[in-house]
Amino acid sequence: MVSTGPFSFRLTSPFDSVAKGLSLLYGRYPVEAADVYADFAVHIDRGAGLRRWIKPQSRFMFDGQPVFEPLPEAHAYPLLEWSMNWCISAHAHQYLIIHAAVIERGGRAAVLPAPPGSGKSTLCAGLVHRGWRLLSDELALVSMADGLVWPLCRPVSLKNASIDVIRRFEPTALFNRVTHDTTKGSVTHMQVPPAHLDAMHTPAALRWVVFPKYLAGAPAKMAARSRAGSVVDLARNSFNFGVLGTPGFERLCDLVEGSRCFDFSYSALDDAVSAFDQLASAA
Amino acid sequence: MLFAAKSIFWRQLDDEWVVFLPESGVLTSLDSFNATVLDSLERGAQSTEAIAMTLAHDADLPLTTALTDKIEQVLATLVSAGLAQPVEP
Repeated sequence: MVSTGPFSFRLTSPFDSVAKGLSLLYGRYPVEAADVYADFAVHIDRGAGLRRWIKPQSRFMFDGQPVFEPLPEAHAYPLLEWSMNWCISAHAHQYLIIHAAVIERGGRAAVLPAPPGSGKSTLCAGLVHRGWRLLSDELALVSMADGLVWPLCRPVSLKNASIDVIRRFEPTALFNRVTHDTTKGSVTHMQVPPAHLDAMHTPAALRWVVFPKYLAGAPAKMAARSRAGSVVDLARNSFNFGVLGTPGFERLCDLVEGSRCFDFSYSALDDAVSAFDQLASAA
Repeated sequence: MLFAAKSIFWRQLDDEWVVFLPESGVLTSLDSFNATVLDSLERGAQSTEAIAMTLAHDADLPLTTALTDKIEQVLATLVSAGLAQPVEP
């Protein structure tokens, strides 16, 4: 039983790779007794029938039912993380959930919404090793009750070239074993800096909405963008805006009304860090 | 032909408006001119000509064919976005 941010997960699996990944990445997280109520029960099981032995598979079971198509056994650990994301995005409608990274400095949060491949997670992984606290690399949780952004504080997912980029940028960062040949290519997860876990239950007020875009060779550039357009784009990046209806619309507008919005293009992480430092000091 | 607005929610952010239609989940941003046209529809179904007369009076704009044409384009955009609909007189 692991607590991560506002959620508790009961995580079970027969796979050694899952146990090792959890030990490395969640070893310092609060652990509850096995008989305590859990928000979500995630079981990564072996494949059914012959798939238990022949081209063995792994399956995500939620309340005893399979949710996704099975994946190769070697993908069991990433499947665990993706399953945890699904649990939250499909059920936690007490939050407006945006597909975005979230970081914080000085009590003020920056949301980085972006589709896959935009460089959001690479940027997030770099910034959390340069003075920004990690709230989430994947799911921004905006409380419908108080409008604050609440931490999820789970390992940062990195893929393909970004893995080596972060290894070079921060040699002390710890990574799980790389899983190859997934639908996203080669993926791994980076351990959250331990000091960030102490603030796992500390929310932050949103101050900046930054839409990142990695552009090879481009200098770091932070350009102001329309706040109305940002509301539309945030909704487009939301998992549950359609579920929340008018209250979600009002909450999203409140969020952006108090924020500054930017498009951010970059290629070098050091330049990106400087740009975000300037953003934090200018506010 | 008359046009009427659907039941919408909106919020002004700087000099733009964000408009939300709960029945369909449509969410879009409008500039000030488009928002003014939509706002006029919220007061009741109106023709293009009536909207043009109101805008010409309120915004001190010349009542020209160009203004009416622009309003027609905006109405077509609003209908396409699901924010307005043509209605019988």
